[in-house]
Amino acid sequence: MEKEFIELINNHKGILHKICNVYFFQNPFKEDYYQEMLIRLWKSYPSFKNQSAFSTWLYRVALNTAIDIIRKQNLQPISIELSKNEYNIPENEHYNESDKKDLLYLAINHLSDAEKAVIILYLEDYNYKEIAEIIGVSENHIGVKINRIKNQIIKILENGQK
Amino acid sequence: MDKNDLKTMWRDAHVITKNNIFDTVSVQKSLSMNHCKSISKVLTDFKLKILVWLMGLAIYIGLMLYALVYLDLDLSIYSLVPLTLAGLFLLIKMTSEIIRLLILTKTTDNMSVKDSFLFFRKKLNKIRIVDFLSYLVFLYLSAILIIINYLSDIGGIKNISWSNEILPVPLLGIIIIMLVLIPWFIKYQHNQLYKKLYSNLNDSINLLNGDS
Repeated sequence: MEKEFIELINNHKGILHKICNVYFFQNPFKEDYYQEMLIRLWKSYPSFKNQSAFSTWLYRVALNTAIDIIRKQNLQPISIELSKNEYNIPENEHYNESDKKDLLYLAINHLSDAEKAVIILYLEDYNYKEIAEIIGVSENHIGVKINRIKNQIIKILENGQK
Repeated sequence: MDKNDLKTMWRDAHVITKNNIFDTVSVQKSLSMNHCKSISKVLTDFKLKILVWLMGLAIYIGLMLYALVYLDLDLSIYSLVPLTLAGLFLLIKMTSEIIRLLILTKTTDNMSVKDSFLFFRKKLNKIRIVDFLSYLVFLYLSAILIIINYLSDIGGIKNISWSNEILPVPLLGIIIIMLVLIPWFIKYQHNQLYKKLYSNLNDSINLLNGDS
């Protein structure tokens, strides 16, 4: 089972990287939280019963883990010493206004946790039905919300504020 | 900017790069771990807090047993009530920390994102209520006891002096007002402490419920 899981993770690791980058934008513990995500996925893996696509299940668990880590941070702020690697954030992780990726992440960072979850799924080309299934809302409802979130992001990208 | 540009922007932003910071994390090694370093630290901090309250409670029970069983002291009801209140307070504080730890360790990974938000808000409200009620019961009962003691002049409380003056009623009033206000201050402090958390939680739930 372990081998199968590692293979699935390696095939879908891009999803996890994106979720980490969105939820832990400029967070020095990003790699640590990525590891927590892997641990939680592994613990939840026995509950995956092939009723949905692996990526759908992966998104649900990974999004819940990311949101949960943020809650934990707020409930009990993390105060551990940063390692040399964590302290020296790699150069490509610095916010750079000219970088499209940073600008987009910065705009998404202004959204609430639920809005982030919805927009990641939309940007990853999931259809409304799949998004509604992962998020737990009705399909009709999701379209309106996506539109509103997109407007917010565009407004932030154009004006620099929500 | 066109709304459809966002997807293009997202795709362009995720062109595979050579230096990926996540590549340093080993999947295989992670599978044998319970939690990552920072989450383990948070949980250890909570366990230490619980241990401190547990030790306080154990010392309290030990002292009570020593006084009541070994020394066979015959304490009056006016002495027993505050002692019981102190024990109750230690018990409630320990329970409150245990509830916090349980909330932190309880995972909702397989729930939908919306259910996970609702579950967490319910638990957070539980923490708020337990914290508020524990202080409210303890401090209000203490205030009532002080008033009863004063009115009945138990232990000569009316003659207790402070700087060679008879304890003035206004000072007693200030102490009682403080005891009455502290639970509300605790509630306010809780709201301030978790302001960001509540704000994000409420925004998210409103969005998913369709209220906003």
